[in-house]
This record gives sequence, structure tokens and C-alpha cells, in this order.
Amino acid sequence: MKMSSLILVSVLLPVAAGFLTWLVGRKGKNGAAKYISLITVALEYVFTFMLMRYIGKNVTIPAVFTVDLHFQVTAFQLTLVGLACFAWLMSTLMCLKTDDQARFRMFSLMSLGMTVGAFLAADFVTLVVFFVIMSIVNWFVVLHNGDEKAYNAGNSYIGSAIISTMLTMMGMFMMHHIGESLSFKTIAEVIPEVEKNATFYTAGILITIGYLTNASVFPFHTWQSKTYGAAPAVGSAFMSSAVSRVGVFAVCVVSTVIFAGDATFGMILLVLACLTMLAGGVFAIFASNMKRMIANVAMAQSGMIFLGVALSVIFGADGASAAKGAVMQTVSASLSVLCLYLCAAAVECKCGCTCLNSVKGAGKGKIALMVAFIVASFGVVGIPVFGGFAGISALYVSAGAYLWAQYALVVSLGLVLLALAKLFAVVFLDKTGEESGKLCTLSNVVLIVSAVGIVYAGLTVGKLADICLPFFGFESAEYEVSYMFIIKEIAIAAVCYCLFGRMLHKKEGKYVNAWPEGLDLEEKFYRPLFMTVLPYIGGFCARLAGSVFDWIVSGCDMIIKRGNENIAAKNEDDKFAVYPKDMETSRGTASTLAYGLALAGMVLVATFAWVLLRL
Amino acid sequence: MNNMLFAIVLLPILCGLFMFIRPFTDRKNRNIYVFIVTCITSALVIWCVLSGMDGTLTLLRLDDTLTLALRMDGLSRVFAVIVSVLWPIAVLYSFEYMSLEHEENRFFAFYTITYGVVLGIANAANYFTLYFFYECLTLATLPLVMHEMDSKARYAGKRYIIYSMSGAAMSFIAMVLVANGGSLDYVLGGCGSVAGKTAQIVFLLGFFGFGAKAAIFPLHGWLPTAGVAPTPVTALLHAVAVVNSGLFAILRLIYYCVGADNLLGTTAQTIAMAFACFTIVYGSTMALRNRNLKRRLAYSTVSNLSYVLLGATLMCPAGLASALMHMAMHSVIKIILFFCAGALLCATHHKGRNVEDYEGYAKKLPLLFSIFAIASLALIGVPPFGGFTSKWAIAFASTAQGTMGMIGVAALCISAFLTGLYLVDVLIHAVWPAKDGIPVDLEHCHKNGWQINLSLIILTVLLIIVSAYANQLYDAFAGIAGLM
Repeated sequence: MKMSSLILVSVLLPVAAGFLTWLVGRKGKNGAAKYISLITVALEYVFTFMLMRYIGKNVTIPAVFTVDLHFQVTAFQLTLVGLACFAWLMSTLMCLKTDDQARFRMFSLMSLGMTVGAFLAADFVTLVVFFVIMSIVNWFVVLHNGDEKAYNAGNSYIGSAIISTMLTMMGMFMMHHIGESLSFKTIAEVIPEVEKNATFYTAGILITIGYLTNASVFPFHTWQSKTYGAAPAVGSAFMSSAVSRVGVFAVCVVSTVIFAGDATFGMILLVLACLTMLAGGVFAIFASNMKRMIANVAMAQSGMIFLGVALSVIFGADGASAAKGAVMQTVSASLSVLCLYLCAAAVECKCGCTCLNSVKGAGKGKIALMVAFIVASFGVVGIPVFGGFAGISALYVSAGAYLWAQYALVVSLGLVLLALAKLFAVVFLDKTGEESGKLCTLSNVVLIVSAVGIVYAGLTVGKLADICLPFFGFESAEYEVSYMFIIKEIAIAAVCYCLFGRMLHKKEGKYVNAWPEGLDLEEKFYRPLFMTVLPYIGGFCARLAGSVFDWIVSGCDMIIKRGNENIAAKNEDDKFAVYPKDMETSRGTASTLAYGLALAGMVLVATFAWVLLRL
Repeated sequence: MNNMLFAIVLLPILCGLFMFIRPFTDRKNRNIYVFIVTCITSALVIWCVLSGMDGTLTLLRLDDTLTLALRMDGLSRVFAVIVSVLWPIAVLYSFEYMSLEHEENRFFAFYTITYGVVLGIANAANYFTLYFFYECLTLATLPLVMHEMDSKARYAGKRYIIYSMSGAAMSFIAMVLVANGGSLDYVLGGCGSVAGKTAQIVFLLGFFGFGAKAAIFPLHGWLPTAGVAPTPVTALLHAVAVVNSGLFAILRLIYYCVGADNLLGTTAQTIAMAFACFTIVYGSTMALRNRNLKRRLAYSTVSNLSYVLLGATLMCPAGLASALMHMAMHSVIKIILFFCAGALLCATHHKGRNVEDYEGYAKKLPLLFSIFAIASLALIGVPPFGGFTSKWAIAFASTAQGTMGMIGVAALCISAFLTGLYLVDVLIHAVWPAKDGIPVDLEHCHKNGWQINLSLIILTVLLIIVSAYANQLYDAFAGIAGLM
């Protein structure tokens, strides 16, 4: 199969299959719908393998709809596609036994197609096209539960998606003005010759902010814990482990194409990465919902990925090991977060919700669940052999040049460790909760397979990262292994437990969210800003401007009617073109405005007729 | 063969006037008559477009400069096709909608006359002919705006005629200045009658003169007020005939009369672009503020028309092509949205007008809200719908125009964000009613008849087709603009 056909099928097959599952599901044939979705995801895997022979090649697909689409296949992009396929496969299998999911399956599959399209983009236009559609499709995934919480989360999600898209687009148009192209390759060639002025930085930073929002980087993260907390756990699984990686991919592109070797940009990204790691860790400790807790862990993991990206930009030609750390962390974080969400899905399936008070002891007697949770947690905090160790180790060593960044990494890991320990204690050890029923065999298999994936990644991720490095402009790189961060993170977790341990405990027999309401960035800052302050200012200015012309007219009116008291004009007029009262009885329509206009029309026709005769 | 141009203008006018002379007593017969006249006219227009006729038909020669003449060139074809495709569908929709109103004969008579007048504007060969039909359009549409004949409708009519006539007066002065310089004939690249400062003055007078119908700020006030008219009229005003006539006249003025080269980089261009940018954001902001659905859509039109004006004032072929693209896309999208708003009024027997009134209605009217959702996505500019392509084209053309162009792009981005908010808001109310709000009472909601549903389905299919061929469409417009 040709490269263009292969990519087109990879993108469009899930969309078509999505519609099909919906149609079939609506007719009550849930079994068929499930297998269609499973076969589609499996086929996506096959296509990913088939695309491997096109690594290093580009292709343009002339527009059927909208603009021409440009794709490229690199090892890094293909790795992301593979991760996405794995995430969807596991999620699909996890909810395979659930009926009445026609709408969810449709949007889930469509989301897969769009995510694959975004990962294979070769220019910013293609990237944003898929990014926009993907955001809208995922909005429906977030809204799936249909309760108040889901609507609120949906509003947060779509609001941030629209704003981030607009910022990205603004940046893109400015970048097109600077570089005369939006192709990754062309921009990379042109940028070294371009003057690095305010317009250049504004363009680049606007694009970056848009995608950082998708990757839930502080302070643009506010949508994510709400969204992942409200969406079905399987939806959160593929959104946090694959969809949010589109933002990671895009920022990697910006870092290598627009800001390659730009220390200023690198430093800004480094600060944001550190804040994200710390914020994720802190929020995770305070959360009182399993899905939200994992969402915050995922946020901290994103921060670690950007730590590597930022360091590779700052170090320039010497940034290979940092870039490698970023790639390894991308892979392992995706797999670990996916596994944690699948655990949450299993718990949600048995308990009906993932609130900590409802899931107490829910994991007791479920060996596969416990194994998967432990493996995923070890992957997240970087225990050797498990996925995260290699990446975090490389990042820890690379961050040595900036001790504060290194400390931020370790503190974040300590906080995440503490949060996961708390979660483990609640789900598996809490004696006050009731034991729920056993998981089905399929769920156990899915959990074990996803856990095995983490271990497998721990053993092979270094080689995979070497293959991916050319995307960042580096050849293969070695990285130093360090175990110090493990000792430090455990120490920090212990210290934090001693200092803030009370916040982790129950109050009056219940787990509560101890995070102060006044520090809710979305409720206290973004929503008032975008929903009240800016609309008020915009509306005020618009009304003011809109009234100017009316005031001029009123002023003229006043001058004309000077001396008359009744000069106020209402938005109504009883006299304009008014008909006589006896119109219908005496003269028909003869004295109406319509009649007058009709007469004028007749004269016009007579003139035309005369003209016609003269031709 | 050029006589056919006269036929397509005259046929609807004559047939419309005939309805005054011999008013129909039977609704069914009248509807058949109106539909046949409209379809024949549309078929003739399409035939003229496909036959590629390009000769000039002189109807009346007052002197060497002032001639009443018709000609079908590239730009004419675009406008004529938009009008002739949408008009029969609008007529079909009107049959059902107007059956709940009064004075149907008068309505359909003027509706049909307006069709001929708009085709006159589309095929005008010179400034004088366009101006003549432009004035006729104001007169033909006035009774439609005032159709309800209550005090609000009269006020809307008064406002409409004052704004239109004032605007026409400005464009008349511009015409006199052009006529003073020689020819009024439309030639791609400019007729060569004006240059220098005079060109700028002519452009600004014409821009704001014709801009009254294109609802450029601050001459937009009539458009939201005219929302009191029956929905087929508002759809006609906002999407097909009147506002597009204003846009079309401005495109003619810039690219076929004054000449884009005479205006590129001038103060006049900056002023026009600044007003267009402001109107884009202003219209979207006001749309978000308004809870009345028709008024919201009216302000949305104000904003979107200025997208076209922004493209037009870029003074380059890419600008003209993108302006035509958005004109076509917006026409299709906005007529769908207005028809949906009208269908909601029919379904609620005019009881619900505000966005909140349609709380939970998607459950009862799934087809209507599915169509509304598709059109909304298209207007917001979500790929793969055509609205994305047209906005994209305008933004790309704008980036080549320096600072003012970048301000235009920023205005587009802000407006797209606001468009998302004010349209998604409608859908959220309809699809996911507030749980703690007033209980959803769907008993007063009635299903619409086949004519409304069929017209909406046809328009949606049309939207999907034009979206599918958006790139080819843009190439065609680029050819007309002289890009290819």
C-alpha cells in the first residue's frame, strides 16, 4: 500500500468505523459494535507497523476537504502513534463488556483517527486541523456521563480548547508571515536567517501556549483534572496517555523547528516544567477522587517530559541525553498513566464512581488490579526495571546543571510517591470499605498486559529513544544512570508525610479535598476573567461604540425638534407608512406603500419593455 | 444570447407584479406559480453561467457615460450562482413558514420581484446600472422588512430605508466623481477614471455608502432591527440578497472601478481595514451579548460580512478570492442558521425567541438541532467544513499586509473564539438543559412540516458538498480574481 493511502486509511478508518459502531449500536447490536471497534483499533496497529517502512519520508495529500494535508513519518512520530494505538486497544478491551456505549465508542474511535493524524503531521496546518477536530470529538467523550459534573468539565475542556486553538492559529499566521511557510522542514531551514525580534517570539510563544494547554502545563492546566475526573475512566485513559501527547509532540516540534538552541525559550519552558511537576505533585496529594489524583500525577509526568525538552533546547548541541530522557519519559509516562487509569476504570466499574470515600478497600482480593497498580506506580516514580526509571534517571542527571530544576524533579517525585501510596492504602488496605465483586477475566488480562507493557518499556525504552532522537536533531546518546533520586524522593515523601500527613487522613471518617477553594485557579481567575470581566469590557465597549451613531442621529433629531418637549424616540414607530383606517373598505390597497412601490415597479417594467422593443 | 440576461432580470419582476394585478385566492396555486417562476429563473441563470456568455447588453443609453447595461463576467457568475441556488430553497421554506403569517400574496410578490432585482445587481455591467438596481432593491425589500406592519416593523422599515438611502447617497456622490473622470464601466483592475486622492475619496464614499447594506460599523444598526421581519425575509436579507449586494458592490468598486492598485498602501485602505477589523470583533461581541436568537444571528452576520470586507480591502487578488470564498460560504451557512431559528419559531408558535427558551428542545427536534450543529461548526470554522477554508484564506491573505493585516488576523481569531461561544451556547441549552433550571416543557414544541425540513436538509447537503469541494471552489475564485 502506498504511503499516502496508508496514512489516509489510518486517519479515516476509525472515523468511518465510529459512525458504523454508532449506527449498529443504536439498533441494539452491541456485540457487533464492540467487535467493529476492536477490529478497527487492531487494524490501526497493523497500519502503524506497515508505516515503519516509510520512516523518513513525507507525503502530501491534496485536499478533499479544506486544505492540503502534509504528513511525515519519523520514528518519534510513529512511536507516538504506536502508544496511541496501545492506549485505545487497552481502553476498548476494558469497556468491551459494557453495553449502551454506542455514542462513546463512536467519539472514541473518531478521536483515535484524529490523534493519529495529528501525530503524523508534517506542517502546522495539518497539525492544527487534526488538533481542532480531535478537541471537539473529545468534548463529547468528556460529556458522556451527562451529569452536572460532566457538563462543567465539558465547558472547561471546550473553553480551553477553543482559546488554545485561537492562540495557536494567531501564532501560526504570524509565523507564516515570518517564515513564508508552515512546513516543519521549511521553517527549520528558514528560521536561522530570520531576525529574532518581538514578532518572532510572540508568534512562537503563542503557538507554544496553545499546545502547552493541551499538555496541561501549569498555569494552563486547570481543565485537566476536572476533565479526566468527569469523563469515563477509559476515556480519561486514552485522553491522558495519548491525546495529551499531541501537545507534547507539538511543543517538541516548536522546540526543534522554531526555537532550536534558543536558551531564552528553553529557560521559560524549564520554569514552566518545574512548576508543572510541583503543582501536579501537590494537587495529587490533596485530591479526593481517584481519577483526579491520577490526572494530577499525569500532570507531574508531563512536567518531567517538558523538563527534558527544555534542557535539550538550553544545551543546544549537547542536549542529546536530555532529549533522550524526554523521549523515554514520554513513553513510560504514557504507559504508566494508562495503566493507572485502567485500574481506575476497573474500580469505577465495581463501585460506580471513583471518589475515595466510595472506593475504600475496593481493590481487596483483586490480585491483577493490585499488581497493575503497583507496577504503574513504580513506573511513575522511577523504580529500576520499571518504565520510568531510565527516563527519570536521564532527566535527573541532565538537570544537574540547574540544581533548582533537579530539586523540583525530586520533590515532585516524592509528592507523587506519597499520593500514590495514599491511593494504594485507600483502595487496597482500607478496612472500613466493603469488598466489591471480582473483576472479569478480560479486565484482569487487560490490566496485566498493560503492566507488562511498563516492564517491557523499562527494558527497551533506551533503544527506542535512540531511534527517535533524529527527530530532535541528535544521533544516539548515552545517559548516566543515577539511583540518588530514588533515595531523595523517598526521603522527601517521608518528610512530607510527617509535615502534611494530616491532610492525607480522613476527617470525620471521610476523605475530603483539603485544597483551599480560594486557590482554585479556574474558578477564581480564568472563569471570572473569561466569563465576566472580558465579556463585560467587550460588551461595554461594543455598546458604547454602537451607540455613537445613534447618539449622532439623536443629536440631529434634537436640533431639528428643538422646542418640542416630546423628543425621545422609541424603537417603535406607529406612523411610518401607516395605512388609513378605512383602507380595507374604501380603496383596497390603493393608498398603501406597497401599492406605491408596485406602481413604481410597473413604470420600471414599462421602461424595460420599451427598451426591449428597441433592441 | 445576451438577451437572456435581460430575461432573467425581467421574468421575476414581471411575474411578481402580475401577482398584484391578479392576486391568487388559492394558496396551493400561488405556491406552485411562485416556485415555477423561481425555478425557471434559476435554471436560466445556471444556463447563462454554464454557457460562458460574456457580451454586454445595453438596455438604455442616456449619454456616453450613463448606460443601463448588463454583462455576466466572473464576479457576476459567483453572485448569480449563490442567489440562484439559494432562492428556490428559500421559497420552498417560505411556503410553510408564511402559512402561519398574513398577507402571503403581498409577501410572495415582493419576494419574487426582489429576485429579479438582485440578479440585476449581479449582472450590472457598470456602476450606473448597479446603482439603479441597488436603489430598486431597497424599495423592493422595504415592504418585506415591514411585513408585520406593527409599530416595531414600521420602525425597522424606517431605519432600513434611512440607512440604505443615506448609504446610497454616498455611493451616488462616488458615482458622480467616477463619471466625471470618464467611464463607469466595470473592468477588472479598474476602469481608469480616477486616481490619486480622488480614488481614495471615491473608495471611502463607496465603501461606506455600499457598506450600509454590508452592515459595516457604524452603519450596521438597521440589520439587527430588521430581525422583526418574517424569517424568510431575514434569511434573505442576511444571507442571500441584500447584504451580499452591499458586499458585491464594494468588490466591484475596489477591483473593477477604482482599481486595487490605486488603493494599495493608502490611508483609505488603512481606514477601511480598521473599520472592517473593528466590526468583526464588535459584531461577535454583540452576538454573544444578545439572548434573542435572531438578533444574535443578525450580529453574527454583521461580524461575518466584515470578514468579507477585510478580504476585499486587502487590495490583492488573494484578498478578492478569499472574500468571494467567505461570501459564498457564509451565505450557505447563515441561511441554514436563520432557517433553523425560523423553524424553532414555527415549532413554538412564536412563543420562544431567546436562547433559554429552547432548553432541551434537541430531544424533540433532533434533525433541526443536528443541522444547527453542523452549520454552527462550519461558521465557527471547524475543519473540514468550508467556513474553515474561507477564514483560513482570509487570514493567509491578511498576513501579507503588514501590521494592519496582522490586526485583521487577530480580529479573526478573537471573533472565531466568540463565534464558538455564542453558537455552542445555543446548542448546550438545547442539548443539555440545565438541571436546576426551569423544567423542560416540550409539550408546546411542535414538529415542523416537510417543506421546512426538506429545505434544511437540502441546504445542509449543499453545505457539505461545497465544503468537500472548498479547495476547487477557491481555485475557481482565484481564477476570477486573476490569481491563476
